[in-house]
Amino acid sequence: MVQFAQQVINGMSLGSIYALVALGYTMVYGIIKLINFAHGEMYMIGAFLSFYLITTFKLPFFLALLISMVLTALLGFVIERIAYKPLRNATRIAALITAIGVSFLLQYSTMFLVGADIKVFPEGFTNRTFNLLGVGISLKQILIFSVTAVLMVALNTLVNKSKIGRSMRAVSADKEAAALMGIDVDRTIAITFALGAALAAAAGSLVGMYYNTISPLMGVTPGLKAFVAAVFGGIGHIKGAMLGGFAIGLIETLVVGVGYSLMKDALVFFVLIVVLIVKPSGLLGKGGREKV
Amino acid sequence: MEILRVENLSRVFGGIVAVADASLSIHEGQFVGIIGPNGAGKTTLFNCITGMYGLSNGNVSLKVDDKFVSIGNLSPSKIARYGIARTFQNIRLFQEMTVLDNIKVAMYHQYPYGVLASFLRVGIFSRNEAMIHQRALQWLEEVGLVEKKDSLASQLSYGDQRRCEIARALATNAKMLFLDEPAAGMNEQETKNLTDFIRYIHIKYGLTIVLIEHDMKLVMSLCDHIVVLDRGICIAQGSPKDIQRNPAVIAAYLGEEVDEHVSH
Repeated sequence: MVQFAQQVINGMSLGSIYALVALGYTMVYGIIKLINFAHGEMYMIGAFLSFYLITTFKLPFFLALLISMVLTALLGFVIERIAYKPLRNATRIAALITAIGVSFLLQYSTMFLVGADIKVFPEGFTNRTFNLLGVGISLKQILIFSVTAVLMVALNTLVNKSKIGRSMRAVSADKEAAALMGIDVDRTIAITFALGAALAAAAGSLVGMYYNTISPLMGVTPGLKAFVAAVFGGIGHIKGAMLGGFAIGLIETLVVGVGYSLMKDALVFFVLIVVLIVKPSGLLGKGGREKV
Repeated sequence: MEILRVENLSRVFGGIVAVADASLSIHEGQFVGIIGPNGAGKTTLFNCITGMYGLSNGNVSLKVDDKFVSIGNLSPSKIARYGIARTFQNIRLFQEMTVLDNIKVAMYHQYPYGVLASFLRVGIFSRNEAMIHQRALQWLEEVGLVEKKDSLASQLSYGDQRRCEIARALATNAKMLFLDEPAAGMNEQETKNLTDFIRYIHIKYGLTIVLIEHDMKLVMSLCDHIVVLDRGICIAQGSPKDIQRNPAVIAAYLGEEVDEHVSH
């Protein structure tokens, strides 16, 4: 039982990371129906920015996290303007292939700039483990939970209660009608990319801090799994991405806990397949076929 | 006083001419009806004026601060900011948002503040939000939907959705309102209520209204100027009386009596 609870804690901290990344996938999909395959690279670049801010500029972890989020958001904004905006009226497949291209471009540009080797993320602070009824929870895990919680609450407030959030929902519902109500649709879309990128950067920085290693290809697998999490929860739904992220993190950790660590990735995708067979629109997705 | 000028506007789709060389002049405070058989190009004309379609030829200019500005190839959001708003033949509210949020979305361009301010929830943000909230409630009061402010738009009855859509268009602070078949799908009582309501906002806000409608009774009772389109061509313009007697108009309606109900 204690061991199970331990795995749940570990699973939730991994799930937090997936959830943060999944939010970006789901928001971008919600607004322009694009699976942004370059999103995992925002996570990787966020981690590298934090790394250099901490090592070269000697900033404390939180400040580095914040600056890295802002810079990655800007990058997300710029990438949208350069790579996706010109394709707004092109076929969806064109934008999708562009996303794959952007993903490779960012991976290998990073590799070119900083080298392909794994970098050791500095220990910003001494890690401690607290004992709760036999279940260990580390300071790092508490940090992951709190940063994730703060970001999710902030995002939720932003989406539901603010100008940009309402504009995002309006644009995602009906771009033309939104434009005719005076909403700057292109700007709203670019800001959505920026927000998603900032969340991914936070996730990347947290992972760097948690596992202590980062590399230019670190975004590939978590990016893919976060995508699974977004689809699992119902892509286009913000709460679905959160739920999906935690679910995927938990499944993965529990599978490893039972001793089938080689099977963890296979099982994640197996669960996805089952969910999609039973409920094609994902856990929180609305039924009904998508209009094409 | 002229407010909108459409000069030789054409819109071609592939080989099909949807609107051909249409010219019209709309005056401030006028209530203009655009009529014509199905496929005459009425909605295309609306789409061209509101920026949803580019123009194949011609120009549209709008009076902004006593000067005429060409809006022919501006984006829909810029045109909306100049004070043109519209509703749609098939209601296009943001269905999954509340009635209140639908109105608020239309007001934001009048209160610019950035993303950063929304994050920090600082002074200007909360002041603006409070102002927008108050103003949005006033609009809902005006259209009689204030009790339903927290319902999702999709939960409203058809008639209420129509009112909500008009309120959303008004909330953009429009001086010109384009209504595309507002009475479509309504029964006689609903149509009458809607007619009264449109007449009320026309007078109260001194709006210039352009209306597409098949219900001739509604058109004749509301409009003081009528434009008749047929197969993309503007075949007649004038007062309701002139239009009813115009032989070209009667012919376009294939001999149907224009002053009676024309159904399509």
